[in-house]
Order: sequence, then structure tokens, then C-alpha cells
Amino acid sequence: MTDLGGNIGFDFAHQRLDVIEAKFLQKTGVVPVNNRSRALFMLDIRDGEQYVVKRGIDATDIVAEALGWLLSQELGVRTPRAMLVSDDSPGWASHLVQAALNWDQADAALCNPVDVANIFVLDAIVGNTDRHHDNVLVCDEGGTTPLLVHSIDLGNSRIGHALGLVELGLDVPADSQFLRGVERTTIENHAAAILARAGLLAKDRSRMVALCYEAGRLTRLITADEQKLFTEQLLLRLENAEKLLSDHLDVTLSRGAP
Amino acid sequence: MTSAAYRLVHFSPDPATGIKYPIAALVSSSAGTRVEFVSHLPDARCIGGADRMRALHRVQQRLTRVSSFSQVPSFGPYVTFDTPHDVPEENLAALLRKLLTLYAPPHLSDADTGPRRKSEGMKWFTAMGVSRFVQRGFRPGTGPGMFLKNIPALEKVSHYTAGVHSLMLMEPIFARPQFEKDLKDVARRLAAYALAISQVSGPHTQLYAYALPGLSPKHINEARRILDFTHTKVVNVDIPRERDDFLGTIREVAQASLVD
Repeated sequence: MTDLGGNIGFDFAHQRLDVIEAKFLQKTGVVPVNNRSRALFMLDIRDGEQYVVKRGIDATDIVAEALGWLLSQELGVRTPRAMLVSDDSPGWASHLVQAALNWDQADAALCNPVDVANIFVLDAIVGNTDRHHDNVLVCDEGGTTPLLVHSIDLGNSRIGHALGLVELGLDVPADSQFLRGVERTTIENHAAAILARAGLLAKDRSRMVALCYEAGRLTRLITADEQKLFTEQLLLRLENAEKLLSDHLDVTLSRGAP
Repeated sequence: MTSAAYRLVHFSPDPATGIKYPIAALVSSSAGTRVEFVSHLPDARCIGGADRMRALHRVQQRLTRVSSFSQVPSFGPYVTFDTPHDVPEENLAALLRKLLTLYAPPHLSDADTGPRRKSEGMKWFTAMGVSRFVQRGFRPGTGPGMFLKNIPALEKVSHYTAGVHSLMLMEPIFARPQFEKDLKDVARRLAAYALAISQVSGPHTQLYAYALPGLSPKHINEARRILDFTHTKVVNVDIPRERDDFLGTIREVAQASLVD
């Protein structure tokens, strides 16, 4: 991906989160996404690639997207490539996942259960309150391969605000959402690998310091003090990922699907 | 004059270009809400390749489950529902025929295209973690089908699990436009097996039709009615008890062969 104006990019877990300053070359239209947020979704093309760009979002959304995306890469959550857009109207650009459809409960039992479990663990750690069928993309690779499941849109996560995350402590948001068709046992039976990765990351303080620092450097929206708060809180939440997942499932199952 | 309404459903293989293909119509009439599909789908080469074709077929499956005319689901950026158009009910059939007969002469049916039943079934077995116990393509006269060697005219069965004394022959069914045709095919196939296994000695053989997630109760009931005379168990995997019993039996039968 092109870095304009010698801008920065951060190579993290073999994925690169770029920051672009210029406006997208070609706005091609508004994607008909039934989004529930205030963001404006647009489809743009850059270097022949298509992105869905959220504009008009506030600082906490951008911080949540950036930190959440970097954490997703670390934890192995299937997530499309992404870019920060930093011109007059800051935004978040997510690579258009080709031939993907929104989540449908009838397809739940055909989906890769590890992908689904990973999303729930990620949501528990970042305190995502906006997981519904429009924010999960499903791809059919053909043959007998279970459907691949991509996580998108972490903008409404509690990870977007340092003090909010401190306030949340080791709890999960009471307004978390659940995907229809997903069973608790499916998630619990397939979460072992990501919980192990979370445990390892919890012991790697320097990596988490670097991750939060880079999120701050890229977004220019996180102070040094906030970076420290994020680091401490995320280390704590990663260390307690299994408990958070259990609490997240308790909350979401009791509330039902949106 | 009774009024009806329809909404065309479009597939946009590339949202950037704005090109869209009508793939179905959601119809509201005095008979209720239903979905009518186009006579033929655009070729994979027209819509950008096999991945989009798979998405299109999955959209068709999802459309079979749409039951509300006013509250339509959101399938993502590749699918749009037009605004409703009113039409006199007596003109509805002719109009839909005109709108939905597309792309190729009607005699060139593509009803058999789309995801293969056996692939969809194996996709589910894989997601459920039992694919190692399930084999593809049961054939009479070979392997565990040796006891049927004198009846070679039997067709292949999509999946099977073989134990030492037990055999499970399994056919998947799922929601898609050609469901009726699928069901007839499964019934014909399994009816032949039901007759054959009653004539020869061999392992205890149970026939199954397993309804993949999302098949409507109406279709499930239809499957039970049609397959009843073939002594086939119809498993609705959306019902946890039925699903767990089915998966448990697969494990038991397969593991018994390992133990023995």
C-alpha cells in the first residue's frame, strides 16, 4: 500500500497499518450498508483496491479501530486489511472483502467455528458493544471448506477511551451484543488457541507497550499517559481473557441477539 | 381489482461500478409473501468469477427464507432490494415472467448449477468436527458397499459412515431454489436403497436425509412426508437434540469400527 508524503506505516504481526494523508483518488459511490452508526460509508479505490471508508467518526472510534485492529492481528482474528485516513475528515478505511455477505444465523453451523470463537474473545477483550450481523462478514471459499468469518467495525468498543477502559476494569459492557445462531459451547470449544495467544501476549509487556505507542503515533489521538493506561488495562484484560469471555457470553446470552 | 406488489432483488458483483443484475423478486399478493427467482443466472464470467458466483448462490439460499415483504434483511453491499412496485394481481404473473426470464432461452436450464449438495453437507460435517468419520460417495459393490455387489444399478449416496456392524447412508438437503428437485432426487435414490437392503443380508443400515441449517419447517415437513416410505430418518440439524443425536451416532458407528 502506498505511503503518501513519506508517511508512516507500522509493521505489526506481518500486517501493516498505513496512514494516508491525501484523500482517496476516486470516490465511487456510497455502499448500501445498513449501518447503525453515524459514520458515512463510502467505497473508494486506491491502487486498484477497494475500501469501505468510514468518515465523520470521532476520535474514540478511530482509536478503537486502530488499537482493535492491531490487537486483532496479534491474536489472529480474521480481519480485512485497513488504513487510517488522516485528512480534513479523519476516517477508517477497511479493505472490501470480496464476495462477502453479512452474517446470517442459518449459516452459523457452516462457519469456521474458530473464526467465530476468535471474534467473541476479541469482543470480550476490547469491550465491543456493536457486534451484530452487519459487522461480521462471511465468505464461501468453495468446496468443503467451512465459511470464513471476518470481523469488522470495532469503532464502538470501550477500547477507544483510556479512562473508560480503566473504569470498565475487569468487567464487560452490559450492552454487549450477540450473533444469532451462535451457541455458547461452539465458542468455548474453539477458543483455546486464541486464549493461549492472549495469555502469551499478556506476558509480553514490551510488545503491548509498542502496540499502544504505535497506535498513538499513527492516530495522533492518544497521549503518552493514555498509552500507559491502555497498556496496563489491555495487559490485564489479556491475562484474564478466559474470564472475560465467560462474562461476555453470560451478558450476551442473557440479553439475546439484537 | 386486487393489488399486489413486488420488489426486485439485485446482485451487484462490483459495488464500485454500479452494475447490477436482477436475481429474484420478492412478491406480496393475496397468497402471502414469496420469492420468485430469475429463470437463469448470469454466468460466473459476467459477474467477476467463482467467488461471486458462490456468494450469489448463497444469496439465493438466503432469499428462500425471506418471509416479510416490508422488512427485508441486509445481505451486505452486493445485494439490494428495490422499492416496492404496485401491480394489479391479475397482471402479476405475466409481469414477473417478463421481468425474471433472463439471460438465456428457457430450455437451457441451469437448475443444477450452484453449490453441490455433497459439498454443502461436508462443509457442515467439517464445521461440526466429524468430517474424519464421514466418507464421501458410497458405492454399491466396493468397500463397505460390497454386500450390495449384486445390485450395481444403485446410485451413489453422498456420504456414509461405516462401522463393523452398522452403516449410515446420508444425503444432505438444504434451502435453495431447486429444493423440490433435490428432494425428488434424494427420495428416488434412497427408496432404491431401502428396497435393496431389505433384500440382502449385510450390516445394519440406516438411511438419513439431514436438513442443513436454515431449511424452513415447511420444507422439513415436506421432506419427512416424501421420505417416510423410504424408511429414511430426516434430521433437522437446527434442533439441537436431533443434531446431537445424529452426530453422536456418527461418532459411535465410526469409533466402533476402530475399536473392533
